[in-house]
Amino acid sequence: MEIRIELARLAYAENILRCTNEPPEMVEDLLSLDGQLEKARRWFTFAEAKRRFDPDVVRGLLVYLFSHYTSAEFDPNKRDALVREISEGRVRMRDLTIERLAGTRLSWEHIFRLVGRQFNPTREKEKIKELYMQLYSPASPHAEVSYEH
Amino acid sequence: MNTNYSENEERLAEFADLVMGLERMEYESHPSDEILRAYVAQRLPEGRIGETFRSEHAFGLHGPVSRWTRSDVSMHVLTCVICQRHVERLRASRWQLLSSARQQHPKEEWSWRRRLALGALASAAVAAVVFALWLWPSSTPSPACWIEEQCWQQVVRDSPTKGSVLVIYRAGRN
Repeated sequence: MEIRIELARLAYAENILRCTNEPPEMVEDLLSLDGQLEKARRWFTFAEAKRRFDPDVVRGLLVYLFSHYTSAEFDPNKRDALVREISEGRVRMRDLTIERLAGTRLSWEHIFRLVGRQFNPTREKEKIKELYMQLYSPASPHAEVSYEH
Repeated sequence: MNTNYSENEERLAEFADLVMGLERMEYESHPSDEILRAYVAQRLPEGRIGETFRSEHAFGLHGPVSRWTRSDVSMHVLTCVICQRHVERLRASRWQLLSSARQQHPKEEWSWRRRLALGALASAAVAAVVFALWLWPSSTPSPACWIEEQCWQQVVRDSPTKGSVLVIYRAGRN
């Protein structure tokens, strides 16, 4: 059961990337069935960040994350094929899945190409961490979260 | 200030635990060849996590799945070695097909230009016909109504609700 919920969370994250994610209140119970509420909330923070900040930048961060950490093995052939498609402009973020990105280890340059512009990854990451604190830290128990994407 | 973020050393390590540690899984059933082809071609429907993942059949862990969504297949392939190899082969053959199609591109571009020229020519011909029809009298001219000739009639009628109403009748032609 734990594995299935872990995959459900990943599927939710994939839907954030493709902008097809459901409102968190509809899936919060399911995505925390294994007791990992904090993990679910961290994904919800990405969904909320997409609404509050530049959505394409947030999606770019997700692409990097999936590309580098979903698989422990680096797949150079898979990477080359994807990089070629990105370079030729034949793939967009809404076309991507976690499986497609796993093991590709894309560089920020490739991510910027997908997003369509450069951004500062560290600054954007910090904004998301701050947003998480704002939404879910004990100091702000009544933080309002709009779950539209 | 250096704004070349391409060389950024950011690794997003704080979020790595969200996606790390996935294990390979043994599945009772797998998506069919047709489903995997649709997945590679990005033709599978999006699904709601709440619908598919509540099911006991999610990812084919417990028997066959009746309707595979894009995320279902993505998660299945991500954790299934057999399907990973299959998808890899499908992607490679798809890539070959697309590459060979692109090699024929110059020919296609020429026919595209020809089609555009023919389209422009046809549009010009249609415009000329419309213009000619516009210039052509729509019907035979009706005889002029001379000032001296009584070609209309003016009648004042009394209406119980609206009071006096002026009604003008055009005289009939023979």
